[in-house]
Amino acid sequence: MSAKANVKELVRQNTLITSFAYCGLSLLLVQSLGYVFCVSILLICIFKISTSVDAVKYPSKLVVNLLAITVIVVVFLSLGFNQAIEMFVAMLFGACSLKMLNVSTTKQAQAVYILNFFTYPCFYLFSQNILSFLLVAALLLLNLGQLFSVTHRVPLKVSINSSVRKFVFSLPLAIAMVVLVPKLPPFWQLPSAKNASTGLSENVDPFQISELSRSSELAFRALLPDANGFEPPFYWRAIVHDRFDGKKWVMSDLQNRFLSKTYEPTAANYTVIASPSNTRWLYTLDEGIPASKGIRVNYFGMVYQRHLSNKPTQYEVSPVKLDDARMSRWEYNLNTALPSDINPKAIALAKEWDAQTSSTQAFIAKMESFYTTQNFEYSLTPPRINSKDTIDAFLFGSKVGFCGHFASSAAFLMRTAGIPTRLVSGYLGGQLNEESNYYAVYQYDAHAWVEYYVPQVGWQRLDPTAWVSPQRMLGSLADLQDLEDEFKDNLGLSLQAFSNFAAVNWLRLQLEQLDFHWTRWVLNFDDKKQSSLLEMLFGNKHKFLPALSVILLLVIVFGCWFAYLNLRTRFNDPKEVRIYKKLMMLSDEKSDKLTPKQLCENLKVKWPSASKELDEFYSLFEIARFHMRPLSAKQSRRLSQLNKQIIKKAK
Amino acid sequence: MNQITSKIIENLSQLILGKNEQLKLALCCLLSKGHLLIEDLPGMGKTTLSHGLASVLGLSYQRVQFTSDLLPADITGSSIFNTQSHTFDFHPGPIFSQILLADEINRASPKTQSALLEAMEEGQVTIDGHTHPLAQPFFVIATQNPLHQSGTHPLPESQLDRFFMRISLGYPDSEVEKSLIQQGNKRDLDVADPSLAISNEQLAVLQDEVMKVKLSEPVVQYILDLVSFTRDSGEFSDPLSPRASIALGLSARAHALINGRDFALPDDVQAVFGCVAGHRLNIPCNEQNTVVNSIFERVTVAV
Repeated sequence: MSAKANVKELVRQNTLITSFAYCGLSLLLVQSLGYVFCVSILLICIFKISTSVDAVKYPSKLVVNLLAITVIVVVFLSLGFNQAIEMFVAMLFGACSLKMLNVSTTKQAQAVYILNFFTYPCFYLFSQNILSFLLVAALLLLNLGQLFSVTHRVPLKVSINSSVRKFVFSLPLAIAMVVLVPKLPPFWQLPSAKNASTGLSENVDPFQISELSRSSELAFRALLPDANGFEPPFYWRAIVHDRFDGKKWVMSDLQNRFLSKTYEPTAANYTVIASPSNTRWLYTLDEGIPASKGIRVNYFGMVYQRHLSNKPTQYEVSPVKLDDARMSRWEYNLNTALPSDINPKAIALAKEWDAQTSSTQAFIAKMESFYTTQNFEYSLTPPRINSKDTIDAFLFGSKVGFCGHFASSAAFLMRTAGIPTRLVSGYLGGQLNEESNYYAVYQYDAHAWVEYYVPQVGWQRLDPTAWVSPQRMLGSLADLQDLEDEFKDNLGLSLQAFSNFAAVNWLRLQLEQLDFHWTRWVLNFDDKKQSSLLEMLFGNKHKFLPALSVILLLVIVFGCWFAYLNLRTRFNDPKEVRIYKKLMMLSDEKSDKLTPKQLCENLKVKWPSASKELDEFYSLFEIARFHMRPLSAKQSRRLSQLNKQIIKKAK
Repeated sequence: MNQITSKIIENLSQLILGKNEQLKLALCCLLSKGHLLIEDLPGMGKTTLSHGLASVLGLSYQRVQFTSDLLPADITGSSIFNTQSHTFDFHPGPIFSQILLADEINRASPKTQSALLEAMEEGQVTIDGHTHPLAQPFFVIATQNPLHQSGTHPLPESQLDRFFMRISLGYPDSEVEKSLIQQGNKRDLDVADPSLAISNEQLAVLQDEVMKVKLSEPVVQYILDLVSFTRDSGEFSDPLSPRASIALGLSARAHALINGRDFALPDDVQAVFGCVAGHRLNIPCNEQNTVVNSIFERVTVAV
């Protein structure tokens, strides 16, 4: 009875802990699975926790079934089939938490813990950085411990101990298998989850944004070779917006054109590791073309991948100077086109400057003096402009804005004057991690600037924001002193906000760096990297050697383990027992079911010639084993002799 | 063989011919201070054996023939009014002897059976508020007919468990039976000779020596394995109790002593296992050997 009560208590404790784990997971997955679903999971977990502490009565079958139907309805309504992955994960997660609700026996608890081995890793669908890895690994270890605990009825502390030991023991094997076993492509794939909500937008409409939400999420990392001579400010081009519809800057159909010419790189290649984002456009420092397979480049020198990836993308870029000195008539038209009837004041101003100046440079100088002398202000929280003539309202009204406002208005003015101009969005800056020598660029480094065309020369970069806020060009936004307070308010309570404290900053940088190496070496260890590593290790024979070596390794490991177990019992046994066990093998009956005396009698019948030795052996065995008198050295030697003699005669 | 025990067995074997192993087991039981149950058909020598045991051990001996109308007081004794002294005098019953032979115990009513078995357990009887200790040593040798015989009340499992051993003599060999026929009835012969009996002190010494017999680790393990087999295999509705495990250890020691060793062997355990475990596992006498051998075939002998 007490054993049974004990099991119930164990199951109760373990499910309670798992409920807390589910609570945490649902909080972390709010962004991906939606508030409605996560709150319902939270409620179920809270229900479970209250039943565990006897605050609420245990739910009846009817209640659980009703809850299940509710969860299904919630999943369909809030996620639906167009978010297939999220829906499947939500279903699994919901099923687990509901099962958890009515767990009362060991069997049921085991079912939940086995399911959890699928549920917890689903977290990787939404996030793959080092912290998520550590979290999921910890949850899996806990889960294994809990499975042991309910199955073998041991306290959780003991079972977690043992699960950690098993984990450590199996780690080398797992690493060997990941590195050496050839990777096969998946047999089938689900559409990937939308795991990134941040990133650049293909349409830029700065005037509708009252508060630029600045996320401290990583956009990408770049490994710039020292020899390249890249100098800050680093303008990372991503998207070219060459059409203005009066409100937004959008991309024309030209983006679908491939870059047809081939270019010689102007400097050494550099590597970029881009975090998953909501666009397929990637980043290059100024102009560049990709040097990695699967990454493409379009007419504007914009680098992109064919499909959205939910894994970090690593690619190499060759810096080039695009040959765009000539421009066709229709291109000129496209890049100076403006909708009519808007922003009359701005048009008038631009026409006035155009009349006063004779060159593009002079026009730009006019514009610069306008921006610098008219008290324009850089702010992350500009007022929202709702009028039709947004640029007028900005230039002659609010005069407060961020990069988008300045770039947009400058491009408008230049187009009015007939200078082909386009808006470029991307990132500006990057934080150098000195230990690992890479630049980290965050979402808050997002930036917009302008490119204008100079005949016979090509497209030139112009950053109107720099006139208003020159510090912005010096580095990452995070380093900008003036905006620091405002910036931190925006960020909320992430680690970045505490970068004034040396320890926190240090910790942040270390985590950063760990995540960089994690992304670079673990997440991006794909079949190409594997085969190049294997080629390095094994030369050309790497097609079959790795698989062979893994099998060999397994055989060796298990062989050693069995040999160890065998030897251990052997050396634990006293000598007479070791010899007796050898004799047991001589008898072909169920020798372990016979008493030693019976076995010796049997052997005597089988090999009458050895009966004298068998009798002597038995008497010595009896003395040592049952009379518990230690054998003298002489007797011990005699035992070995007898063993040899008996086995000899038996053969 | 131990000198004294070999003498006892020798004497007994003159009385019960050709049943040396059963005699040894019966002696085992008494040396382990346990009560003995002899189950057999009528006329197989149950009474002769118990009578002989009492004689060779030099113990006082009373026999009660159990019948369906036997009352508890017929065994324990009762207080009877003394007209001369005007007091109630206690007249001890047959239980106040060192060996009580309860003949055909399963013919008596359960009430009487319980009275006897309670006395066996407590070592004393209480009559009219007075507690009377039983003699030391005190053994009950009970005989019973196989249960299918008419007019029997089977002993409940809890009371069977109080018997240390159950033995069964079985039919003699034809050779032995032949000599039995030639000799005629020999029940009152020889064994009554007090010179053959051992003294109470010698018995006490023997009982002490049983406890000194070494029970090595593998033997204890073998007993444990056997006992847990009866618990885990699911073949037995009444698996062995810890009391049975203790009895197995004790009787294996006694068996070793009778065979002249001061250490027990797995073979000793096998020798006594049937008698100690049979009645506790509810195995009928005639199936005991088969069942016990099938257990031995499935339990690994620890070495």
